[in-house]
Amino acid sequence: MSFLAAERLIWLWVALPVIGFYILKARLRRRNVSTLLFWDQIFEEKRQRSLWQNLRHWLSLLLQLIFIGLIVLALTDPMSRWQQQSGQELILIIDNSASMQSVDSESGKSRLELAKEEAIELAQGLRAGDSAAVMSVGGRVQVVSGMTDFGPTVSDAVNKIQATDGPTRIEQAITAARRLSTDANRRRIVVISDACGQSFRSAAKLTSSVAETEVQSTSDAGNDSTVAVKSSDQDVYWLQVGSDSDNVALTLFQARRSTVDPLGYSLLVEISNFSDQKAEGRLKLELDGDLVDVLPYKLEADEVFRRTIQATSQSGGILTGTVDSEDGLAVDNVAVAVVPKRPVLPVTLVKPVDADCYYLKNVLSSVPLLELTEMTLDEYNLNESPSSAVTGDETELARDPSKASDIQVAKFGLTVFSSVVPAKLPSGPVLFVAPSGDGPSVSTEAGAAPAWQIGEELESALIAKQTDDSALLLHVKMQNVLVMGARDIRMAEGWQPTSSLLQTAEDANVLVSIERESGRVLVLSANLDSSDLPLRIAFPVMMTNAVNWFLRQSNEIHPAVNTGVQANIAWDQSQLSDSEELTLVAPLGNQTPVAIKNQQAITDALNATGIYCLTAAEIRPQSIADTDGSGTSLNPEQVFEKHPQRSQLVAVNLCSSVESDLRLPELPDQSERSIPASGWPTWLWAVLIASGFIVVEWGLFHRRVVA
Amino acid sequence: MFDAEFIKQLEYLSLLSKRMFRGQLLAQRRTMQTGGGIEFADHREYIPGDDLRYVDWNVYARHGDLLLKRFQEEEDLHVYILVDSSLSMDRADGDGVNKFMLARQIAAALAYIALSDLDRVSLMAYDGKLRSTLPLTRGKDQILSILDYLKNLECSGEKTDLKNVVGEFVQRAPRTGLAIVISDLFDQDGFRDGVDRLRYARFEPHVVQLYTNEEASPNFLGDIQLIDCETATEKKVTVTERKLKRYRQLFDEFLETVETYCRTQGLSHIRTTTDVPFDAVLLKMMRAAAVRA
Repeated sequence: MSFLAAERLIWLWVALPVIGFYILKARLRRRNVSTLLFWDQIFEEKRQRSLWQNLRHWLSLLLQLIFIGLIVLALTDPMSRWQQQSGQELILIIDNSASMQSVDSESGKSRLELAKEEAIELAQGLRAGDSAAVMSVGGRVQVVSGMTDFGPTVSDAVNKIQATDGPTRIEQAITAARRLSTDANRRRIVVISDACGQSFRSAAKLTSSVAETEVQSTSDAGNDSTVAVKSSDQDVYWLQVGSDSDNVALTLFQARRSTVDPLGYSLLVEISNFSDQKAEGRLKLELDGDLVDVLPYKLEADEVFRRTIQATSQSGGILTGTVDSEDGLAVDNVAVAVVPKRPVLPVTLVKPVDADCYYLKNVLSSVPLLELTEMTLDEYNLNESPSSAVTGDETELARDPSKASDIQVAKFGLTVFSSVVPAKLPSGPVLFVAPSGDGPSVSTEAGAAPAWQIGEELESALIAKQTDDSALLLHVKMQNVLVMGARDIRMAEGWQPTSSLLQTAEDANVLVSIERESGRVLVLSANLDSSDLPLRIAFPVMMTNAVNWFLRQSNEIHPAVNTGVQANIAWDQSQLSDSEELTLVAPLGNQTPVAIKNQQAITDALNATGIYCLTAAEIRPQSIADTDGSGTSLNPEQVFEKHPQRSQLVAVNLCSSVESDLRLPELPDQSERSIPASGWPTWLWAVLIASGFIVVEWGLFHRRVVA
Repeated sequence: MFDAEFIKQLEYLSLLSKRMFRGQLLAQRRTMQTGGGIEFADHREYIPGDDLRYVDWNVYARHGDLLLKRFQEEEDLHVYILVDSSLSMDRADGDGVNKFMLARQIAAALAYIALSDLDRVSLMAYDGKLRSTLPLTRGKDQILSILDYLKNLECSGEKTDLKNVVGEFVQRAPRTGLAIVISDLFDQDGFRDGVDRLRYARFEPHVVQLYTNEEASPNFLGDIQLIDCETATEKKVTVTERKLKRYRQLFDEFLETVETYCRTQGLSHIRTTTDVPFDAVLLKMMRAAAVRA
């Protein structure tokens, strides 16, 4: 036996005056009477009972002391060892998914508010020995509050739960709840949800499967199999909140690059009517606030409207689709997609004075959004040399390679050296085609050395090996292709990380990429004038890949991500190692670190719809931003605007037919089962026994006074 | 206490009494003595030396016998009113009239009626013994002195002892007569001995028993320290409903005992509570006397 409020034992002092009154025989009421004749006769008859009367008084005192003792015991809130071992472990799984934002027409409250009220009511019903945990399942399973036996803590945790735009994760929550409470006999998992979606059926299956699993496992163990099955089968209780509601939702909103128009994009839109009634309205499409298109729709009950829309935009922006429907859920009436900007890239082709570079020039001209400028090496050197004069400080450029790269890119864009090699390797993206000799001198670990050494012309430059996972060779198959005039490229050791993309059978490197902080470098040793490489389909594709690779652009529109999904987002802004981290800025300005692996940013489940910004730039921490002069943190668009080269936008939509269908499914077993209560607390027993004693004392008093 | 209104009520009661129990209870009683009255009673033979004025000459003329006429002598009645002035009489129901007050009012009324009938009246207050005595008086003009006497009476603390009081009274009383005892009869040693002694002394006892409703039916419960107002004896008791019921039963038995005793002995007995006005008590007494007559 332990006492939760042992300090209240001090109230035992109340017994002292009770005893005092009995010992001191509190002064009786005095009453004058005319004569004692009759009283004497009465009490003469009753004299034989005086002993019992005295005993009755002492018994009365004893009963009163016991009563006080029991009441004080109740005040101390005792807990028996049995109670400590038999209290229930209540796990409240509160659904804060997108569908829980739906406002209930009957109560005027959202389903989440109703769920919270149910949860708080359960928390307030916690008894001695009980403990409770709170989990939320909107987007991802989250333990809001661990096991605690303090009701207010549970209530606070419930109140902290916010609505999310994510989908329901009941199955995972039930699994996690079972891990949280391993005692199947004490475990009570209460799922408070609108029960919308198919996942509930699978959750029911999960419950059954666990039961079956335990049947299997425990029957091997022996005798307790029945208990285990029963307990595991009954540990999940559903509390359904809300009422049926009609809804029209955008269930698909994805943009992709047009296959025919380099500036165009295709938008796939799906509008679903989750209602038994007809619905009609308009879908309004806006790009950065400018109206793009308006699509009227007219839907029968449960009909799905799907349409592909072609549009063109070089400037790009945030494409927003809005369904003008006054329905039960607002979050699925809006969806967004990010259409990237398609800037024109300047390309400077540096060639020998007497060469035309016909094939290369035409291939580069065929790549969309390139602005080609030709110049000789001398002209290039003439233009390139003032760059330092512009900055006026070479040491500064040496300290900050990215700045030099930016200047180089601004001046020359992509620099293509065809059959020439500059004396100095320029910053920014550089393509060498059929270099005439060794590379420019660079500083390596062993000292100054040419960036590469070019070998003799290969007699049989048959490509034998190709690195398939490189973006440079996307959709390109060069194996068994004879590249005439190719020469082996040997990169300087200890300079920069290089990748050999194409190799001959003799391990001669024909195509080599170099990752450099100040700009990527690609070296192709094939002679375009003497080989048939320019005539192959693969070459313009490879050049297009190269341009995108240089610009760190996939040239694709990143698909919008659905809420509650762990997304892998291609990061194509800058080369990052796996040890580095990106920062994901949520629509409300919240910042979370994001790991990156193989140029893929791996985000956690996103729980809010809207535009996010994934950035490698160092932005102010949220806490500081919150306390700066503006008082607000940067939103994703502001971050992207500030760091366009090191950030990319990510569109996140609900687009879930499960969450948008607000019609409540029927749960067959919810009305038949109620949450079993655990045993009564000790203090309640104490009060009951005390009540019994006081009834006995009342009886004695009644006999003493009235009878 | 005894204001003009009270005197007026006494007058009214006096008139009523003449009609209702004239000659039955009080005043102008004919004694068994023959003597100087005016109403013929009997004849007897003449004895020499008798007063010749009383010889019935008509009889002598007719029969030749000398007979002497005898006349019934009219004699006034002696009325003794014994008022219990023990502390037990100083009880009342709430703010109502207490027993002693009612007793004095009844005593005054009876005295007035007696004086109106030319009887002699003497009043005595007693508890354990005779506390004070108003000697025999006669004539209505004495009513004021009687009222004054009654007004000055107070309850005293000795315990009631009617037997002792009667013994003292019998020795003092010059003649027998009516002895009206106005008391609650809460006599620790018993009232019967006292009344019996009156009877033995050839007094004609009349008992007026007074009590309060609270005495008849107390309404307190619980642990109580009872104090006898006469003896100051204390008694710690736990009063329950059952005991109250038993008390009422004993009190009723007590009243019944008194009534039975008086009826058996042929005594006039009237009992009343303090909430009954004294004139109503007197009327009740008169009716009872009329019935008995």
